[in-house]
Amino acid sequence: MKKIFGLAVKGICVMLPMIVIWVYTWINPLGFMTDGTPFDLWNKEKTNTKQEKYYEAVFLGDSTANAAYVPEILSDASINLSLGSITPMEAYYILGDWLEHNDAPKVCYISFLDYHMKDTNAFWSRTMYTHRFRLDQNLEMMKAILAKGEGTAIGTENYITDFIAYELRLPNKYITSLMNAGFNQRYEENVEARRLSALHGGRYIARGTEVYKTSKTIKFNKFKVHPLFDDYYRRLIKMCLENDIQVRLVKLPLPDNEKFTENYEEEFQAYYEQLKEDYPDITVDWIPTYEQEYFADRNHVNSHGALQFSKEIKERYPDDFTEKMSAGRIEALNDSIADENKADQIIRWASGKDYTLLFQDETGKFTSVYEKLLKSNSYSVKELKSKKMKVYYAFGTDDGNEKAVSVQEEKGKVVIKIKGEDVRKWKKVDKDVLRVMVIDNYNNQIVCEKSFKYEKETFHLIK
Amino acid sequence: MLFNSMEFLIFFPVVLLIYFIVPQKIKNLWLLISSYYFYMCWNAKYALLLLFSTLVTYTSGLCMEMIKQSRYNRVRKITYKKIIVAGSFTLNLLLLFYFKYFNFALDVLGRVLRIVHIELNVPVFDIILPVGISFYIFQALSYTMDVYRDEIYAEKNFFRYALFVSFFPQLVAGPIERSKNLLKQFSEHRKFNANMARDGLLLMLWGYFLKLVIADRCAVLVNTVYGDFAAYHGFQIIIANVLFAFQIYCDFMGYSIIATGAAKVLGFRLMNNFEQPYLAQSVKQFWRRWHISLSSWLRDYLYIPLGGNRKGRVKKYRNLLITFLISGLWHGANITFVIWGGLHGIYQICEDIVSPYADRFYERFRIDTQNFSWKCIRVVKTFILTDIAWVFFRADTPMAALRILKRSAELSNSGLLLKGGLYQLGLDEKNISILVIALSALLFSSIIRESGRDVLQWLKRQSIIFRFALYWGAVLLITLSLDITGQEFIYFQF
Repeated sequence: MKKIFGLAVKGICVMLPMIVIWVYTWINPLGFMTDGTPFDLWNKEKTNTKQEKYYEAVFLGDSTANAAYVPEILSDASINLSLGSITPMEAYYILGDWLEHNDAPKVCYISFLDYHMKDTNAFWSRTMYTHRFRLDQNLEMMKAILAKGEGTAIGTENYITDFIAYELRLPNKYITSLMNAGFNQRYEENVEARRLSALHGGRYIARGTEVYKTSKTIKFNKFKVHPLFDDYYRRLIKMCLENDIQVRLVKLPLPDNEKFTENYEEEFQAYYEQLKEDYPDITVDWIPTYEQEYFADRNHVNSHGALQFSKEIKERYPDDFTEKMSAGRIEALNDSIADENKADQIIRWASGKDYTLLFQDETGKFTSVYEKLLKSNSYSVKELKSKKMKVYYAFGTDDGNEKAVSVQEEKGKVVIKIKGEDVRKWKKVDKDVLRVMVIDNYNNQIVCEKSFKYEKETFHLIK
Repeated sequence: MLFNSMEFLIFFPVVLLIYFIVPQKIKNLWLLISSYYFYMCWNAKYALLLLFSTLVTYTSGLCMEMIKQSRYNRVRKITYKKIIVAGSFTLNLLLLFYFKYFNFALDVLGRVLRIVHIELNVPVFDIILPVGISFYIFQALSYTMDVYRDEIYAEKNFFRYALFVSFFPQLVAGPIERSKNLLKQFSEHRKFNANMARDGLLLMLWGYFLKLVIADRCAVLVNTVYGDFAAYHGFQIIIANVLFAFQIYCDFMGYSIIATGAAKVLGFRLMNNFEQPYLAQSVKQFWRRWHISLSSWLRDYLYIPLGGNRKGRVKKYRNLLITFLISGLWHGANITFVIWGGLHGIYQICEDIVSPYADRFYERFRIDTQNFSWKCIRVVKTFILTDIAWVFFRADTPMAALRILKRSAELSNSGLLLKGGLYQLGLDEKNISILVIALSALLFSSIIRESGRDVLQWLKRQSIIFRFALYWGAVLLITLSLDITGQEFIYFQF
């Protein structure tokens, strides 16, 4: 017995490097795990704790929904609980977690890409990898997969050992991330991603203003839902209805090079008609396509697309979104505005909110290009009386409040005074340049200052 | 169940624990159950083939033993024994032929008939190759032959014999054990031996190192180049070819060493399957060092019965060629394997013809061929020859192999390697560095063994700090290699 014990101790000593790596995977996941992890961990934390405020709207879905629903545009009391690569199966448990710890929202928007209704490519590499779900939830999912998951990519040959390996965080499943991360080099970016996720109410913003371009036409011929995901989709709807949550199933837009055949439309309608028949209180919306410029890739909207989509949803269902902006959400909005690369999109982000936009125009295009847009977005536009420069300022809301911003010309310069901020002075900009400053009147701070050069009939951001 | 799978890492400790807990009487039964479970993890139905082969060879052994004890005269005894051996071989080889070579034979037949303008519409049968069939059938047949040659007594205990055929550490990829070595060990009284267990575990660690750190890493580069060989040439292909030699060596030797280690932990000694083959100074020597269990099997049960080198030069060469063609065919039902085997046969015939003249030449000019530099030249020459043959082993078709060899001769891109071209072949700088370290460790251990020392004994004599530095280095590299694993052992397909 003594010899066996001695051998076991020696064995453990020999295996020490592997043990150290294994322990590290448990204690510092943000140090090395891939970029989806901060979102999953934020989502886990958020859904498993009681929130101080009441959320009236919850958005559930995969990465397309995660990119499309913008809480800072929709409502202060909305939260995007979508996660990349998930199916209705995972969404069911996310909502379950939320309802266990929080009051039921008024409305739940559910959106999935067709692919995630028939298969998943990331159950192992994302859902299991990030440890978003508890062991009992994972076991329940595995059970369901075994019962109904035939034909899906989840049912891999070695699913039992894969399951154990992920649950125990064994190095064979995490060493790639560890190697690629150089052990701790992802910590800061993961922490930042988590901060941004929290700031934007769970929305995935990493694709920013990227633009997808293709000339290839893609046709959708069939709409099919796998029994496993149909089952969970229905369970999800039932869970909502049992908790008096209005269910809105929304098929998100795709780029306009993607076409749907008649057969697809028939199959799609048939499936959702059946759902509506089974659950009469639900609503189904299909927004087929947006122009390609609103997309970062063939599935995910970019920030312009997200803005466009969220405004469209808000117009369709204004009663779902009643809460006004709070300071937290303004920060998120400021972040989105600061990330913008187009002046017209800045105008759209800020519209209806208490912002002041200043424009210094040397292109001569302001009135023809932007004034109309500003007015149609409920801005009141004024021009500074100046002989040397063309300066305009616009208020997002004409709420009658005294603005903490004053703009005047002094000694050939435009002087911008904001309460609590340093005085800014604008000189004349170069020819063909439009300068824009966005001022957040809620917090009396400058959000961003950007310059655009007018070339070939388009404004380009000067970096 | 792969040795490099999670299943095995659960299976082995469980088997081990119960094996040392249960009474001596049922230890073999437990191992037999475990071995069948091990095999059935791959395909439960095909355990019947294993059982069939076991039953046939067991029965033939018993029958031969009965004949030996009978009152028949010598000639009759031999005749009956021959009939039994022929029956056992026929049944086993038919099994092997059906599962491994049937489609290949039909394909060859179709091609031959096409030459004489006869179109034969041959359907392709959906036959799954049972894993390890070539190994366990050869092992079982060696038992039949040993009983026939009166080298051993037939085993009367069926469970013990069944365990000999199915012993899980070496069931699916060898070493192809001999009854003289392994079978008798199942009759011995066994209890836990800490020294053997420690040595076995260290061997397993070394085996995993070879497989995961070297073989699987080489595989990434080799698969990249071979997967699109038209896009590569010159040094890129040469590097892939050289690394394939190390891939197959470390893959197969890794398996054999894990098998030997696992058996050792259980208290069994398996034969050594490799003896630094790439330090061989001739192809003939290579075959005394490479896959020793198969080459000695072919020598004992094919080459020598064919006449060996006793019946003149021409017949010796014929026997050599037949043996190596069959060795090639044993590896797989593809003409590329046959060519690979044939090449090795031709190499040895050429060596045999040329060596007397070469010896005379060296003598005439008083060249000392025993010095280090000459040895190196011969080692490199042998490596190049075997590596050329490996191209046929690895390529999908003979034409592809020829094209790969042709492209490897286009040496216009040597500058690419200095400009980071090496890192464009599927392995980044980090992985190439790990590979270089690991290959250096392999070379170091080979040199120790080549000098006649046992690496484990050598290791035991080192200080604890040095030993643990090596262990930790190996464990760390294995851990860092877990992301590129999951590849089957190459020799599983044979």
